[in-house]
Amino acid sequence: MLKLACLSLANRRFSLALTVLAIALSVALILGIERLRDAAREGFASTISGVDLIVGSRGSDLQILLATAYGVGFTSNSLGWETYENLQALPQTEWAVPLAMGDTYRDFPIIGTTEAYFEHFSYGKGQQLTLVDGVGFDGTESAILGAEVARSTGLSVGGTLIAAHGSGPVRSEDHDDHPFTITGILAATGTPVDRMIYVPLSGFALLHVTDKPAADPLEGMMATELTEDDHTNEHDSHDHADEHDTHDHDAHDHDPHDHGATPDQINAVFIGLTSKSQTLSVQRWIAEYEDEPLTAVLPGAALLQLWSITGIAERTLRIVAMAVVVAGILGMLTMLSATLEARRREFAILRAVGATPGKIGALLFVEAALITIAGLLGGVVILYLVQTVSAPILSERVGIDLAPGLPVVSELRLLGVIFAVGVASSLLPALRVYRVTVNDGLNLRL
Amino acid sequence: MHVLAIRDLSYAWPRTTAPVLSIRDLTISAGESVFLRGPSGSGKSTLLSAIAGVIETQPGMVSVAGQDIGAMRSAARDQLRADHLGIVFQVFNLVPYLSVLDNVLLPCRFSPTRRARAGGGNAETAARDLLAGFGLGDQAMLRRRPGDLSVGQQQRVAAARALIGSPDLVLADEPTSALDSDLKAEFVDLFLSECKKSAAALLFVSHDRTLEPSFSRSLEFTALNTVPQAEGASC
Repeated sequence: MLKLACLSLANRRFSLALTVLAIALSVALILGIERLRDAAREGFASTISGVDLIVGSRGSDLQILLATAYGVGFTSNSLGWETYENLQALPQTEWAVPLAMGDTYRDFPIIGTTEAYFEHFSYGKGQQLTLVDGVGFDGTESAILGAEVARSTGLSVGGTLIAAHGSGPVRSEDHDDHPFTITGILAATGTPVDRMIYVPLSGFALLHVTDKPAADPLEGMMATELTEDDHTNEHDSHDHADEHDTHDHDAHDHDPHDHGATPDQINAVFIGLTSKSQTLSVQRWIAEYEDEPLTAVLPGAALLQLWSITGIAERTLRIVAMAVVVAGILGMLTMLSATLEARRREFAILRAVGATPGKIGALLFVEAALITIAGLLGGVVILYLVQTVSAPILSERVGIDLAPGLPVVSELRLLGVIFAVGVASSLLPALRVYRVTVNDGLNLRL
Repeated sequence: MHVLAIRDLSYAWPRTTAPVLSIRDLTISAGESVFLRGPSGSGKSTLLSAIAGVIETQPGMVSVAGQDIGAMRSAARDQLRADHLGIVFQVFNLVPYLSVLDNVLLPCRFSPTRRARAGGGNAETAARDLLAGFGLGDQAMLRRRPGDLSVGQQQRVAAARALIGSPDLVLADEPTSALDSDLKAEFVDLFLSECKKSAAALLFVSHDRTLEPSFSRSLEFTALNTVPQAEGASC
């Protein structure tokens, strides 16, 4: 029966190839969507694998997570340096890393932080950030580039960059009097770290020194140790809206050579605890912190919030992909049904030499199974090839690690369902064949 | 023993009342070759359809290899056909996507009985031998598709397919109608020879009386079928 089915299919190879291609493309699409979703989630989740809590001013968990770990958006308010010191001093705190943000270079976010960031921050399965070039921070106006930043901008160690206030291109009113010198380039991580620029907290503070109080957290960022007169400038206007589209910096007070400067205010703190079991108690302590309203974000819980939001889009995408698969299988059903008329003579001959309707139905069943298997294998191969080609691009452009691989168990389950539906779809033409051949009878003159 | 036995058979086409077949008694024994002649449209092919179990005849009895076809369900009739009948169609009806060899082996795919009679695992050898007997033993010929064959070659393939696995009864429906007179005689000789080898009973339908002397018995269909024939009837 298998040989007969193969020979019969080979006889209709053109329409068969189109049907198999339709199924293969739909299979590749649905598997691709699943893999892309999983890779995106994994990429997101692996970005901050070593951080127990992210502390920011009172606000949305997601906003704090996205701004600090992914460089997306900004935190709504700032928190005092003293608060950071108090958090660091907690007995449960193993390490605490301050973060300041708000400026960009060619839309790559600039993060002000300390060397401790590179000691404690980890991604993936606890991998540390490593330099592929340079020595790390070396002075207040030094900068370390993520891999994607270096690749995209062409900057290398020894080069300089000028930060723009907020997002957008560098303008004359931005920090052109505070160029940062590249002193290090990080190895690619496949996470948003690749798209970030790190500068010392003291250097970041220099960009935002002002001599008058400001409502914006970054305006209030004072380099407390920066007192040298020859670096005094005026900040007439300093508008840090959440979008940071327009900002005016007319003046700055700073000391580019003062490596020990600390700001009055920062945007967030990454905290590593001595024991995971203390996470909730520390979170509660932070929520009840009296000096200023704070939010302590559990990265994992915030990510679940994110998935619940993006889940609607994911489900919609999945439904569309399933619809494409159904369309592919309907294509096969159409092909099998459409050829029944043309194959009436073939079936009549088979019946004349003793094939029962059940055997002819089985023939169609085997044909459908072969078509579906070919479609499934084709889909896996197409996806593998597409992934092979697109994986480096996706990794570089959006930081998603979509390396090609064989189907995993959940994907095999999905392929099994598609196979079952595909084979079951042959039942309809098989029943039709039974009726047609019996009703028509076998005309010996055919 | 009668391989074919027909008693009081009557058949009318669906939604009609006038019967086209009415046969009181017909028997064919194992190894017998029967030439059935009659004009076109007289109902010869309908009789073959009734014997093959393709049309259901009521009333009457058609017994093939000792089994009453009228008492069987559709699938059982298909299996009886697979196990005990070989049919050569007027237009051959070979499966176009199968090779010559696969076409001949087709009945063995659907009938373990025929396969066993053809030598089981050696059925392919039996098919090759059969084809060689019909002058189609060339290796390249075995792999050809029916579309690549001449009419005469197709006819011999159809005959080999009917004979594979030694069926009890072979029905041949005007298989020589597309052949030249020289080829007709040659084909009939070959066919009868192969039937004799497998001890199959043969019912050979034709209106070409020049072939008649080669058969062990000859029947006039109009004498067999008691239904009055319509003028100028054609099938």
